[in-house]
Amino acid sequence: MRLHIPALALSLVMLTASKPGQAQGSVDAWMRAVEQHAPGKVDAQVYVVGDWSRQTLTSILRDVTSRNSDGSLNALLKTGAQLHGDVGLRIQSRAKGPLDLSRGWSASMLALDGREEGAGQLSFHLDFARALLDAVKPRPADHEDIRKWYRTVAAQLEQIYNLADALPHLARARAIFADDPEMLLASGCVYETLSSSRVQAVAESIIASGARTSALPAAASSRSQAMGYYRRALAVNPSTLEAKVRLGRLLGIDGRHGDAANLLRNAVAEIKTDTALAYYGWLFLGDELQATRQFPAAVAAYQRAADLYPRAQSPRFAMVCLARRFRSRATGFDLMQQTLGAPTREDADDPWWRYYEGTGRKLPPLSSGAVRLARAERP
Amino acid sequence: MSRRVLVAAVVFAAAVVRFDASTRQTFSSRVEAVRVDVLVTEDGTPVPDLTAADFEVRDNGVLQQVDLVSSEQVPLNVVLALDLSSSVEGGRLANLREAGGALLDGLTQRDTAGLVTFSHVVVQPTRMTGDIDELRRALDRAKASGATALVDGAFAGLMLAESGNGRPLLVIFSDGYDTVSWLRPELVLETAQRMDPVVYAVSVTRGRHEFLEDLTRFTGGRLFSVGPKMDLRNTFVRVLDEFRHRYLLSYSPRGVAAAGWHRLDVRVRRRAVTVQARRGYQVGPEDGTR
Repeated sequence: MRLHIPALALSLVMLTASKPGQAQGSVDAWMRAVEQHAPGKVDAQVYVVGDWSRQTLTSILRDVTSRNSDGSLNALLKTGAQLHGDVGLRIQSRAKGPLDLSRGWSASMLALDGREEGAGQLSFHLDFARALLDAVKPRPADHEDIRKWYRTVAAQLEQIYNLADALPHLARARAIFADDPEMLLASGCVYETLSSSRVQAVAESIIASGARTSALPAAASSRSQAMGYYRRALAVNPSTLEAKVRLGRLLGIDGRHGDAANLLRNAVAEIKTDTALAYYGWLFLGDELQATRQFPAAVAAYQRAADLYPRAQSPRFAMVCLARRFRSRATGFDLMQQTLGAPTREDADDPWWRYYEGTGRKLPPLSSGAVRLARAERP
Repeated sequence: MSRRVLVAAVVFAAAVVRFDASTRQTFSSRVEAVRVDVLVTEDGTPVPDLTAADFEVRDNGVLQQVDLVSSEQVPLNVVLALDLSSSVEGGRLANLREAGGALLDGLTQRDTAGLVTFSHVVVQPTRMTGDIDELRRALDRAKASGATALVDGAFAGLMLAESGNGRPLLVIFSDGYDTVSWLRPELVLETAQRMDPVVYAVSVTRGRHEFLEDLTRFTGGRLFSVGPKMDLRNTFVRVLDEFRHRYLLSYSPRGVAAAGWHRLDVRVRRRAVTVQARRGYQVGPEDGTR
């Protein structure tokens, strides 16, 4: 799912954006836009910069990065990355596609609500932002605020299901911050979402219809990648409980129900504060117990999940299904009526609906503020 | 040609009894009858005027003595399970309301109907009712927004459809693929095989819709794949019309153990036709003891 901004807002802010005497697209205009931009906001500067061409922006990039051999422009590069990150995340810009078109990744598939809606391109501005940060001295890996920026943008891309841009973003993040468990977790989440039926079904429908070929990896391959990243996250930090829960689920999908159940039991015992994560753990454990025909234990696990989120339909549907199959039609029906009779409307009612937002599930909606990057360092 | 058998009714004694592995029941001569809801087509068109003598039914491989029940004698239990995700907004929702209304118009006073809608939330706006106006009002109030819990919605529809005494029919509409259900498709498919409702589905998707294909096939129904500009109204009316042209076979099982899964095989003698029906039926709960 990609984010779109109404075109009317663009025309209004363009009238107030430029200062007299500054050519649009000049380095000075760019620096002014960077200075004036409020991180995380869709302000006038986002639209100004979003309207510039690839050629203009590429020229600016070369200019400013070449001037930072001594690190004196680190703050500018960081706040510039903030601006371009916000452009890439929040609006449709004029410049499209990656910085380096020879890289291969360029197109994306747009899917809405299980249906293919069209094609898009990778975000130029996110690539631009990363290129700015690559020029920070001595190394990007030495800067904690850059790490946080990468993590936050990854989570935001996951939240809006922009998997196409999340992949190159996380690839670069892993190259810079090789053993960051949050980056590894986010990488696993993206591949897990790619392996999900909601993504695979749309891709298969496109291929079946003959409309275009799809470079989307197969479900098993994506799942394997996801499991690899979760294992690496746990190897770096065994307390990455979300990686444990998600790995447990994928082990179950792979048919390794005993391993999955053990991992999930360990995870739910350790989770103390993240209620949604505990919910996932109990829900997934219920599935694994059901798969190994431990039905009373499965019901108990589903009930633990239901107790955490009383209006969630997911664990209740699971219990209804068990009741219908292994008790009686009447019992199943009564439980179903209770489930459908309870009002469930808000997104917060069932965390399962946000599971595939990955690390983005913990963020407020994208319209809220983002991580500030290096404001304090500006002279 | 594949053949499928549908069973519409459950044996009297076993429906509410908790399964006990130590009990070995056999069908007695005094009470139980099994109904088999069958569609017979030739080149896609329902075949009329068949009699009981035209059918051959095997229950776990044992040939049975078949009676033909007039389908007109048995009222319908019809449930509409409708996709109200955000992609259905606008003109498609209006078409869907009209199509649902047209199907409801085809019901008689003896029939009952119900409504389930699904976005990411599954909602049952009404109980099973004979009050068609109440259902129309519920359809008119329906709004589209959110993701698509097709599998969960289908399961809820199955549960509602089998709750009454009539011939259960579930009609599912979706314009996309599942994006958010908790229940896994294979679990719902496995469960549906052991339930009574016949499932018809209307899908507006490019390419195959494996879940709906399997669900309709396993339950002896049919999937209609329509284009984005297809007339939904006529498709819904056609679904009901075809359902009314199915045959209801009845037999009292002989020579087979009562409890457990019964594999069914229904054929039409001496005719090269397509027979669609459920694969079998379950007597009593599955063996879940552990």
